[in-house]
Amino acid sequence: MDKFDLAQTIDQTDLNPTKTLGAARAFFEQAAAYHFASVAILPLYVDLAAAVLKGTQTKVDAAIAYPLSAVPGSMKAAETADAVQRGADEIDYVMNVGALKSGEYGLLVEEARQVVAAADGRVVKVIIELWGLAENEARAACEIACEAGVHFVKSSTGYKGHKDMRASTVDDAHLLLRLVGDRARVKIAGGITDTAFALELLKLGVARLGTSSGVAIVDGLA
Amino acid sequence: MNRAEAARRMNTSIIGPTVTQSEVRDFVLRARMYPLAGLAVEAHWLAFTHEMLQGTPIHTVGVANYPLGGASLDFALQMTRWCYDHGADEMDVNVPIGLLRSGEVDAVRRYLQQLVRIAAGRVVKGVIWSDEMADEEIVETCQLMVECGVPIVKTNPGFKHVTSFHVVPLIKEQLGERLKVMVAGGVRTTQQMLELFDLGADIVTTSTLWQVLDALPEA
Repeated sequence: MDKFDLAQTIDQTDLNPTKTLGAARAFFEQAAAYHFASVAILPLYVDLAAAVLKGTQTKVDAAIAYPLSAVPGSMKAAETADAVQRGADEIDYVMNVGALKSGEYGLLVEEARQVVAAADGRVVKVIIELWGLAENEARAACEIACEAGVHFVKSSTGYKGHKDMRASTVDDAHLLLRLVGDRARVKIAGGITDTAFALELLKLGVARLGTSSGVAIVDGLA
Repeated sequence: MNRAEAARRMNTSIIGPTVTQSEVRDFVLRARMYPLAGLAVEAHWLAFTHEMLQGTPIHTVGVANYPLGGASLDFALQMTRWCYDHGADEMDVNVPIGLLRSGEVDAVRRYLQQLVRIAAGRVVKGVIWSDEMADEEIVETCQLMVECGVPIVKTNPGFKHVTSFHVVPLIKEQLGERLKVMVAGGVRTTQQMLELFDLGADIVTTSTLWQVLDALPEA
């Protein structure tokens, strides 16, 4: 695997809402220079990212209903449509995990379908906050995602404000890969800070990595 | 200050990534035994909570563009409108600090004015990250809120943000009664709550409501 191939597995992430537009522009320019698969950002910065990254191999990946997920599917779809209209190429949205734990599976399939429809053909990843789920809940989340045609299941928001949140692990990757099979791809996010861990996850079959350490990870490749 | 007097100046919340319906129900059932000012939930639980709080003085509080303030401004306004239409009596909505730091003051001004318009007389609180802002920045942001008619500043959204007590007199000395101050983030004890009221806080919020209130005399 060369640096370009590695970079193309990385959604280089910055979800800091206090970032100035100038600092965001520099971040996007660096991401393009490294050829990351995408920049994973808050919707407020999508317009700027789309303008800076036009013509590059780095896409714009908008975080929807992030990080609090107990929002109606119709509003997740509205936020998705808004981000797409502003230039988002990919959508990472957070599943309503409280509804998942309450057994509201039909609602969640409908939510996923609404987001996929609003994304209008663009890649959709659903974040299931695996750190907060029992295995049967993780299975239900994956079934819901696959039923609705979501393209990726993503392990975690990585949002440090959640008191029980933990870094993603190799076991998380094994579990999600087993649960989705060949029906969807797996993105692991949260706690990926070094090249060795990144390569280990990719070797298992993880298709995308969410990290704010993309530069260090790519630079660390021999 | 007795328990009821304190409760009337307090908010609480049940907001988190894994909160279930039964957890919201149990929390609201317990909270409504106190004459609180407000109880905050995410949008999905607004109608449910609003119905449970019927007959109590407790306002159902919704959140939008929260806790980060990174939504597109158009969508943040759309979400705010949706919440008021679906059970929110009040809204806590984040101010986009990144835009302010980028000099986009006019855009933020229009956003705040729109929030107040959508609120249509109902309470809307502008939420900031005071723990990541310099004092001058806090005061300027609060002055902008006053200019736009936002009645209350919420000093932090919680989620591990902790409000320094000095922020209360900082805002009050500059803006007096033109802007109410709600302290959120890091309030865990009765002593902290009482100290904040003494410093001039109008409202205090804590997720450890029972611990903070039950230590006070009932009447």
